[in-house]
Amino acid sequence: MTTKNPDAPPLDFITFYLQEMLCGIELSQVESIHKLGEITQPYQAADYVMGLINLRGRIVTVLDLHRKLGFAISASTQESHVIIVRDGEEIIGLLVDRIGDAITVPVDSWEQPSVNIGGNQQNHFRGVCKMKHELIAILDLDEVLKPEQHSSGMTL
Amino acid sequence: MTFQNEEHVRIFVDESLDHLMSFEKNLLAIQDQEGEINDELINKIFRAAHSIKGGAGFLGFTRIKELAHKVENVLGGIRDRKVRVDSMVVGVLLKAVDDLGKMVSDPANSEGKDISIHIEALLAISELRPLPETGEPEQNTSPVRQTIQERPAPKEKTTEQLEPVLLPPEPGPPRKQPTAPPPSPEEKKTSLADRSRDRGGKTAGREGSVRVHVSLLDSLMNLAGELVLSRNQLLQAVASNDQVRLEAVAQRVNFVTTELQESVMLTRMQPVGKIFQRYPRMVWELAKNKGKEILLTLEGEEVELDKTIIEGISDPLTHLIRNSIDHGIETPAERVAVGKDTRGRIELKAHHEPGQVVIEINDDGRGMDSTKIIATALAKGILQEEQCKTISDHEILNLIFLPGFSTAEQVTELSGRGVGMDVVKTNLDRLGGQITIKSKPGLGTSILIKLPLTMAIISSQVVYCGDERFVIPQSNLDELLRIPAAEVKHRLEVVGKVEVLRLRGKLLPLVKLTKVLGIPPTYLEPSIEKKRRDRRISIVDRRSRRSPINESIQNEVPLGEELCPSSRRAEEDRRRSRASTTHIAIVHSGEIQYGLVINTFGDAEEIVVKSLGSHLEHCTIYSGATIMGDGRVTLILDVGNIARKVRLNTLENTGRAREVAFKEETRLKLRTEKQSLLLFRCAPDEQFAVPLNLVQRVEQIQTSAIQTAAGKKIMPYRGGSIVLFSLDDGIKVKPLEPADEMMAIIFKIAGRETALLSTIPVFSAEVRLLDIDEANVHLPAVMGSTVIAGQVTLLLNIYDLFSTLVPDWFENETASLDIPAPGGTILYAEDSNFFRNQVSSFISSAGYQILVAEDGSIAWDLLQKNRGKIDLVLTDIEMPNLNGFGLVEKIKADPDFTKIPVIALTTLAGEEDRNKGIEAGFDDYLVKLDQEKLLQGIRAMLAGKTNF
Repeated sequence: MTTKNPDAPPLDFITFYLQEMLCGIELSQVESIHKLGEITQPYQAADYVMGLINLRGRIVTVLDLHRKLGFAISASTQESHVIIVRDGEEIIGLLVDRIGDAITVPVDSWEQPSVNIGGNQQNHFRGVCKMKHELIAILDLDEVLKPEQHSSGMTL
Repeated sequence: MTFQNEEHVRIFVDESLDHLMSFEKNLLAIQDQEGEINDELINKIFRAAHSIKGGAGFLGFTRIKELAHKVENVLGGIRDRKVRVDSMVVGVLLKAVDDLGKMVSDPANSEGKDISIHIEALLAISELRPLPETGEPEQNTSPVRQTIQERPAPKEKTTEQLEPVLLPPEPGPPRKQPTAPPPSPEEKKTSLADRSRDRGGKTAGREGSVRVHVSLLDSLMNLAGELVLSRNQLLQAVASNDQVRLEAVAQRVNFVTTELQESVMLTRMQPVGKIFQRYPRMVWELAKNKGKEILLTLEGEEVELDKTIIEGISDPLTHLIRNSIDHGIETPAERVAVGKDTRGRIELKAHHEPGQVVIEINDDGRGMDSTKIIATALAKGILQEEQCKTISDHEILNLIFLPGFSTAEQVTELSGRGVGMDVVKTNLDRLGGQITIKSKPGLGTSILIKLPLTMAIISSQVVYCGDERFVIPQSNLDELLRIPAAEVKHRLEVVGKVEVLRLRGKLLPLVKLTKVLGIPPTYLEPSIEKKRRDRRISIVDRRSRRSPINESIQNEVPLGEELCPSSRRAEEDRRRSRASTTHIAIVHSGEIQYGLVINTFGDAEEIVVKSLGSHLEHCTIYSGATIMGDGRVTLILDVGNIARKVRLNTLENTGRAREVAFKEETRLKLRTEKQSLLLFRCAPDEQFAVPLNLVQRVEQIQTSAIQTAAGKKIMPYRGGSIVLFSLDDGIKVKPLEPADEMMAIIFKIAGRETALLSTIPVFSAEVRLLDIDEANVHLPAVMGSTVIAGQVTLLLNIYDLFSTLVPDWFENETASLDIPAPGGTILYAEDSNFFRNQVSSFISSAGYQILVAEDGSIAWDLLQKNRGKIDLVLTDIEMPNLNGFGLVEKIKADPDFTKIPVIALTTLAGEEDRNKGIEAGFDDYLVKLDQEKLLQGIRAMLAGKTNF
């Protein structure tokens, strides 16, 4: 996934924070970004499913990236945003803590994700970009958007 | 000379598939007509082949052209009456057309397809040679086919091959067959959302487009124009803040939106013919395979249904038709033996009814064998031995919808794999459809399917649970129930481990939505108007009936105890408060009906069904989501999957269920009788009732006027004095609440006036005595308990009450009456169990022999059997079989009985009723619960008789 190709053109990313960690998604995969509005919680769904929102008449599943990436849970705040991405036929929202800048990254600044990155879900990252002051963890959207099987705890 | 462009190819594919769709049906119709060839039909299919040939030639698809050409030749032969249409020819044509269809839907790869086998067979037919090999062309050539086909080629000719043949001709993911092995409860999911997903991308290109009539498109365009106009007006009205105009525009928007919605829906409508057309082929194949002769007739192919529904009914219909062929239609030999035409008939019909479409599948086969169904049900443990006696014909037929049921003695390839009908039923349920079966042994079976016109917009019921809002499709909803706290004891109980609801003689299992969803249950604390965490584990009242199935101990708490809990407890008991009313939505899916316990109900709303994303796919308890008027997303509950999730079983046929059903019957009889009651209270939460006709007057009195003398409460009254009692003097109920003013309910007992004290106010009510629970009552002077206006009410027996309070009055009374001592035999006809018990018990306690009869005709029989022994007849008026008027007529007409006095005993006691009764021959006309008057009447009658 992270083979370097020095000839590839630089890529544009939208960056965002998950707690203190700066992450990035390729700009071309992002449809839009919204503030977190009213959200409907689907009980009995996988725990990383944050809820459902109404995006101009379309029902969008919002995933809690914290949980999906295996981070500690943090509550949504005033700055929480939903990044809308397309997954084949479906559109999906990703809940993030804070939106950062849009940046352009030359491909040769990529590195393999280090072992300790991103909680226990290392395979959810395509790589790490070194910027002047910061490291940006680039998400592997295909991996992140894969539905997880979970056993709902039915106690009846 | 190839001239291909994508647009042309697409049009060619669409058109050709349209031609092929009617091909099979028409070809089989030609065969059915045997000698008589219908030129119109043959021309139709000839033209179909011809057009495909032309188009393929133009676009350079030589293989398609070649195959279509050879088919055309054979059809030409048929048209010219050179080729005889027999099943061999039809078989060859169908096989060729199958492959033609495949090639046409994927023309780009059609060149690589080997069609020599078809060409050879078709050539042989058109040249009137025998076929290359005897039998079917398929048999000897399959190796050749397999080498070239990249799609899984048909297997060797075995019965298994029937399966792929039944698939729709288009490529794409294999469809779910209704006869697939039963999915485990968790897997069983084809929710609304799934279907809408299926509608999305992956199916073949053809599914992606619909044809819309230009006129419909025009009207849509008009409406869109209207909408734009309305929007402009709306913006203007809002800007000018003109309320009147705003209302007018709102109305217009409303109108245009509705119209637009309906028109857009129309674009989704498709004729059922689209799926009907595949059945002639299927029937033909299966009939041949089973050695049966079957004629399938189609009717109402033009009837239109929503695309989603059309797609959804295809599998259930396939299964039902297979059933008809496999189980229904007999072999020709069997048919001849019973005097039927060798050829069986199956009819597939569709027609419109208001708001729905009805599809019928009729066959003239052997019908369903009830004894066989029962035997299977017994063998599979679906039915218990003792239930067989009471089960109705309708119920027997419905047994086949239960999971794991199949009557086929031998499991065959076609059907009868032990699954099927339950899946059919569940699938139809999901579409909001209903299925009914009628069957006459030996004559055939008729299956009726009712379907809604559309599913994209459905009506639904909003319910609340915890802080959340959900919707339930109306098609799953039977009714909404509010069970006031006071009624919980009567309506909810525990059977085995399940909480159940008593509803009109049925026991329904209850499912708590909070538990299904895993949200903490809440309740509204009335004093602080706030929601609180509900810690109750069971909603069933601790005083409810318990475990009647394995009852060795009856856990019932005597009523007396319930009425006198410590007052502290009573105040805190929120079960009694209005806010703790239990809300239950009675829902059904398939054969399962249950009560979904929720917090409260909202409105009924029309909703647009939207699918859930892949991350919620395994959340089977939701069938989709919708956006409500406030813009929030709301989930649609899948009633069937909720039941599956909690592994719900029907309770029908448990012992307790039958017991309740029996009680219900008795209760229904009581229902016909209305009783005027006076309702009063001594303490705020206990309500009592006495029959109004026993009450002389009700007076408001000052408490200060009551004096105590000789341990009795006495009050000056109308120039004399009157003795007052309070209810707790005699029976164990809550003490009378002190107040400055009270009500005195005045009765005339044993010739004197006396009064019961009650708090203000008192009410009179005309009630049907619905649910008089006699068994629960362990208090003297209480006839039973019932629920009136949501309040548990104790029905008092005034005579018992006063004879407890002042026994000496009654001794005097007996002595003072100048009539002979009691004795004699009374026949009492009464259909209501409650009154029969009440009246006969006080008559016999007064010293009479009593014979009871459940209706007039039983009474008449008893009278004849006991000639000369009956001294008096008491009879109710309203009774089944023979009513009171009929009975008195018979008695008075018989010289032996004419002297026996007959007293009508009824709840109606108007002067008119009385006159009518006397006219009809009754000697007296009395009111049931007026015990004193009744006994006086009996005594007077018997005395009168001896005096004659």
